[in-house]
Amino acid sequence: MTATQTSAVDATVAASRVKDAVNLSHIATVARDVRETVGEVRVRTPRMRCTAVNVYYGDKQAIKNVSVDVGQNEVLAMIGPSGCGKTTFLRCLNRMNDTIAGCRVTGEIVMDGEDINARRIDVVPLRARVSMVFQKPNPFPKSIWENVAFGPRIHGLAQDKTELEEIVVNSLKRAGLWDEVKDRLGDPGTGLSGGQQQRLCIARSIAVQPEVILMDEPCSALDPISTARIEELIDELREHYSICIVTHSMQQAARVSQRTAYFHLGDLIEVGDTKQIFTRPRHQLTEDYITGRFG
Amino acid sequence: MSSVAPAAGGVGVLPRRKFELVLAGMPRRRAAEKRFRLYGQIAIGLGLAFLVILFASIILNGYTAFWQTHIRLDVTLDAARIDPQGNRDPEALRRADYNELIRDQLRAMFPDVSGRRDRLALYGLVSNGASFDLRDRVLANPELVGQKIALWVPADDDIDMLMKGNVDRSVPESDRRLKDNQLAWVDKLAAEGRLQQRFNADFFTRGDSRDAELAGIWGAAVGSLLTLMVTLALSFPLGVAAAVYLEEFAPRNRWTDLIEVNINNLAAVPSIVFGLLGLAVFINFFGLPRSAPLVGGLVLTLMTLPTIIIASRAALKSVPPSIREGALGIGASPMQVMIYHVVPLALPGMLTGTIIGMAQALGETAPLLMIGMVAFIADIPKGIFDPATALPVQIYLWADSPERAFVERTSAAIIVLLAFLAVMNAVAVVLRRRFERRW
Amino acid sequence: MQPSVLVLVLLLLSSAAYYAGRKRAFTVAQGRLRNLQSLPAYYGLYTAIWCGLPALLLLAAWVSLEHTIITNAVVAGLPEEIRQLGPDRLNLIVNDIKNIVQGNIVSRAPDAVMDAAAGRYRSLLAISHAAMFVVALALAIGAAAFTLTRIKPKQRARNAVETIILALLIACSTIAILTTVGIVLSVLFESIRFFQAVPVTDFLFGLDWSPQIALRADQAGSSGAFGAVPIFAGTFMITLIAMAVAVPIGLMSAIYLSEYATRQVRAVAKPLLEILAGIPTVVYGFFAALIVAPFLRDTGGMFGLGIASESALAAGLVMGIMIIPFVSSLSDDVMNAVPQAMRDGAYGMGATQSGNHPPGDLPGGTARHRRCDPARGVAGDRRDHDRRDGGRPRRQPHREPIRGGHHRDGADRHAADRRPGVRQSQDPRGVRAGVGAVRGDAGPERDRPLHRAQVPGAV
Repeated sequence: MTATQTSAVDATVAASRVKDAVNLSHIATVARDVRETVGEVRVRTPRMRCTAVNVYYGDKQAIKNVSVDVGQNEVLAMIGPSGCGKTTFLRCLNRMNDTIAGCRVTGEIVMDGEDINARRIDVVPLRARVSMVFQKPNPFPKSIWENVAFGPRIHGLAQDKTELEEIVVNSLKRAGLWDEVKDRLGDPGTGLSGGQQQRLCIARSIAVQPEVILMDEPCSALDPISTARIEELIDELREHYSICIVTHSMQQAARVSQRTAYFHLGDLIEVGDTKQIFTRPRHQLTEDYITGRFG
Repeated sequence: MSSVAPAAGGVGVLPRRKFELVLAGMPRRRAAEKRFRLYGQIAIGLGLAFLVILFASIILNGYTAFWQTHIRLDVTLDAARIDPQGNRDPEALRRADYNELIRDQLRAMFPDVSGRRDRLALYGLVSNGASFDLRDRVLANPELVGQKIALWVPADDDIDMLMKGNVDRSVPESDRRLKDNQLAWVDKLAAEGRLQQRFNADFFTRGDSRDAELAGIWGAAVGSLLTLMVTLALSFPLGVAAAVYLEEFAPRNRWTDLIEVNINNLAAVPSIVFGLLGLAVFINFFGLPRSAPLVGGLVLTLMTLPTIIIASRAALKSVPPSIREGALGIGASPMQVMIYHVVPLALPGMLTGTIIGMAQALGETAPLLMIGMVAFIADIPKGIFDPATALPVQIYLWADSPERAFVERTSAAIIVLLAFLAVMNAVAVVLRRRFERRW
Repeated sequence: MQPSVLVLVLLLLSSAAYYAGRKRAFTVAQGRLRNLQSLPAYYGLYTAIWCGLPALLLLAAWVSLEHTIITNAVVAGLPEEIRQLGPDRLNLIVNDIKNIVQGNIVSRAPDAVMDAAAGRYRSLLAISHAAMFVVALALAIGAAAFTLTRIKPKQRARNAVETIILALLIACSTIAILTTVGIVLSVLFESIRFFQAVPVTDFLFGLDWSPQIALRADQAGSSGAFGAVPIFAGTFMITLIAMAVAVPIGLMSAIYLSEYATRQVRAVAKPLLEILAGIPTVVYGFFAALIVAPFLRDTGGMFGLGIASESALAAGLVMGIMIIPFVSSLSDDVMNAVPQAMRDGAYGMGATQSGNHPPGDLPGGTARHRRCDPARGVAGDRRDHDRRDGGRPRRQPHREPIRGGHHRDGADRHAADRRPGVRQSQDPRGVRAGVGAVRGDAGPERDRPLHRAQVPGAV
C-alpha cells in the first residue's frame, strides 16, 4: 500500500481495512484463484458495507469474494465486460437473487448494523429501503398513477389519500416526469415512450422512499436523449439517495458516478474514485478495459 | 468443404447432368404434389361434410319440436261443476274435474262416437296435460267460471306426428298407432280449423314427462345450471389456486413433480371414471344425496380441474417476469406481486380456460350417469340437494324412448345444448381476442 | 339450526373480526401507519382467519362425521332381532329410518319400532346441531378475541397471513393427488370385491358376457357370465375403425391446412373442424343411432350385407369423426416440432415444387413435410411418404449412388444438413432446384460430418 493511497482514507477506514485484509487473506488461502481488490474498498460514510460476498449459481461461482462499500449520497458505478457479475452483485444488495432458483449468497452485506442476508431479515422491508430499477423499463400495465402509488400503498407509507397524492406527485417530480404526465395520470404506463417509462420506473422506486437505489443498466434500452435525461436525473437524485448503477458505457460511468468499481470474471478488480479509475487505473486489467483492449 | 467433387465426375459435368435429371423428374414430382394436395382437400372436405351432415340431420329432425299441434276446444266452464259453492275458493277450483269437462266437450264434438273403446280413443286425441292447462287458466283468472272459452290444448304426440307428416297412412291399420277412426276425427278437426301448429312453449317451461307432447327441457336445463354453478364455484377458485401455487410458488421437487404428473394424468382419464369416484366417495362415503346437482357439480369439478389448471398455468406463464421483478424490486412480497399484478393480468386467460372447462362439463353425460342423475325426474329442481338431471343426460334418456315424437324432442334438446355450448365458446373466443396481450 | 346458517354466521363473524383487527392495529400504532410492521388490513385478515378458519374446519369435520355416529347410535338402539339381520337388510332399514326423518317416501309401511328409531335419530341430530353451534361459535369468538389481544405493532401479520394463504394454495394443488388416489382406491376396492365373486381368469379370458347375479337360487338365467373378452374385442374393433377413419382424414387435413391452404381457408376450416371436438359425446351417440346405423344397414342391405343397427361400424365411424380434430392437431404439433432451420434447409434444397404458395405463407412451406419423415415416424404413419414417392418403396438415400431420382430423397432427408448460405436465395421457386442441384453434387455422405457443426450456427 503506497503512501498516497493511505492518505486518502482516514484512520477508521484503515482500521477496517486491516480487519478485512485479515479476512481476505484467510479466504485467499481457501480459493487460490481469487484476485485481491486494489483501490479504496472502504469509504468514510458507508450506507452499505459488503464483505467477502460470494455468489454461486448451483456449482458455478459468479461472484468471488467481493468487498466494497456503498457510500452515503454517492453514485457507485459498476463496470466490466459482459458476464463479469456486475448485475449479480447488484442484485445481492436487495436480495433479488432470492428469486433465482439455485442461487446462493455467502458473506456479509451490512446495512445499519444488520446483515441483510441474515435469516431473520424480512426481504420485503429491505427492498423498500433498497429499491431497484431494471434494464428494460417494466412499468406495470396499469395507469401512471397506479404505477407510482403501488409501492407506498403496500408499504403503508401514506396515512390517507392526500398524503398518497403528495408522495406520487413528488416522486414524479423528482423523476422529472411530472410535467410530461400531469394531465394524463390515468393513462396506462405502458403507453409512454421508452425513456418516459424508465423515468416512471425510477419514480416508482423513489415513491417507496428508499435509502439506496440500484440501477441495472437503466439506459441500455434508451435513445441518447432519454439517456442524457436519466443521467441528469441520477445526478440530482444523489442528493437524497445512495445509488448503485451497473453500466456498459464507460462514458456514462464517468459522467454520473463518484466512485467506480471494475469487475472482471466475478472478481472485483479495482474500485476507487471515478476520475482516478479512468485516468490512472492501478490494475493492468482495469487499464486494458478502460483503454478498450477488450470489452 | 475443401474436397470438391467425386474424382470420377469432375467439376461441372456431374452438376449439369444432375440438373437435367432433376428437371426431367419435375413433371412426376409435380403430379405427386398435386395428388397429395387433392388428398388433403378430400380430407378437409370429408371432415366438413361430416360436420354438415351431423348438424343438418340434428336440425332437420329437431326444429319441428319447437312447434306443437294444438286442438281448439270450446269449453263451457260450468259453474255448477267447477265451483259448486260459488265462492271461487282456489282450493275448490284446484280440485274440480277439468278432465271431465274436456271429455264432455270432445263427446259433444263427435256425438256419434259410442262404445268404451272408441271413447277412450277419442279422449286420446288430446294430451293428458290438457286438463292441467285448463285448471291453470281458471286458477289464474277465476272470472272465467261460467263462461264458454276457446281453449287451445296440446294434441297427443301421435296426432302431432301425423300432422308433421311423420306417420305413414298407407301402413295397414294393425301396424299403426293411430287407428282409422282416429284419422277420420283428426281430418274432421283439421277441416274445421281446429288443429294448428303453435309455438311449443311447454318444451321450454316443463320438466320431463312420459308423454312426449308434455316433455320439456326446463327441468334438465335447471339441473344443468345448478350443476354448473356448483362446478364453477368450486373449480375456478381451486383451479386458479392450484395453478398459482404450481406456477409461482412451488419449489422444484418430487412433490411438485408428483402433482404435475397427476394433473396431466387426470386430464386424460375417461370421464366415466370420475363418475365412479363420485359414487364411491361423495355418495357412499360422505353420504351426499344421490342424483343431486351438488354431487354432479363435485364430480364435474374434479373432471374440469385439470383443464382449468393447465389453462391458468399457461396464462400465468405468459405474464412477463419483468412485471414480477418490477414489483419485487420495490418491496412487494411474492404474494402481493401475485395478487396485485400477476393474477389480474392472467385473469382473461384463466377465465377462457374456465369457460372451456365449463362447456366441457355441460356436455358431459357419462359421470352423471354413475351418480344417479339419470333418473326420471319430472319436477323442476329447486336447489342443489334436489334430485335433478342434466341436459345431456336428458338427451340420453329421450334417445332411448321408443316414441317417434321423442326423436324430434331429442334433436331439439340437442339443438338447445349445442346453442349453449356455442355461446360459451363464443364468449371464450371473444374474451381471448379482447384481452389477449402481446408482450 | 342448520349447518348452512352456521356457516353464514361464521362468515359474518369473520368479517366483523376483520374490522376489529384492523381497528385494533390502528390503535396499537397510535394512528401512525409507519409504526406498524404490516398494513392494518393484514392484521384484520389475520384476526378474521383465526376467527373463521378453525371454526369452519371444525364444522366440516362435524358435519361429515355426525351422520355416521348418529346412525351407529340409532342402530345400537334398535331391537335385537332387527340388528341380527344381515348387513344388506339392516342397510335398507337404516335407509327407511333416514327417509322417515327427512319426510321422504318410505319403501314400506312404517311401524312403531321404526318411528321410534326415527324419533331418536331426529332428537340426536338436533342435539348434535345445537352442540355444534355452541362449540363452533365459542371457538370462533374465543380465537378472534385471543388474536385481537395479541396484536402488536411489531407483529409480522403480513407474513403470517401469507403463510396461511400459501398453505391454502398448497392444499388446493394437492386435490389432484387426492383425486388420483380416490380413483385408484374406489376402482381397486370395487374390483377386489368383484374378483372375489368372479375369478380373474374368467373375467380376462371368458368369452361370454351376461352380467347378472341371481337374487334367488331358482331364478331363470341365474348364472351370470363375466367374460370380458367380447367387450375387449368390441372396444378394440371400434378403436380400429375409428382410427381408420380419423387418422387419414386428420393427418391429411392437418398437412393440407398447414402447407397448402391459403390463410383464409385455414382461418375458416380449422375452427370448423375443431367444432367436431366440442360436440358432446351423447350427441354423437344419437347421431350414430339415428342416422349412421340405419344408413349403414340400408347400404349394406343393398349389397346383400346384413349390418346390424348396433354394429361396431356405426360406433367406430362416429367415434372416428369425433376424434378427427385430435388427430389433426396432434399431427400439426408433431410437424411444428420440426425446427425452422430444417424446414428452411429443405426449402432451399428445392424440396418445394408446389408453384402456388401464397405470398404470406410460412417460408417452410411444403419443404416441411417433404423431409419430415422423422416426425412422420413419430406419428406412426408412413403411407403418405410412400404416396409422395409415387408408391415406390422408401429408399435408403445414404447407400444409394447419387443420381437424380434418388437425389430427391437425399435432399429430403438431409435438409438439415444444408448450409445457411443456401437460404440466401430469395426467389421462392425457380432458383431452388438449381441451387439444390449444384449443392447436391457434394452428396449426402460428405455433408454429414459438416451438418453437425453447422446446424447450431445455421439457426
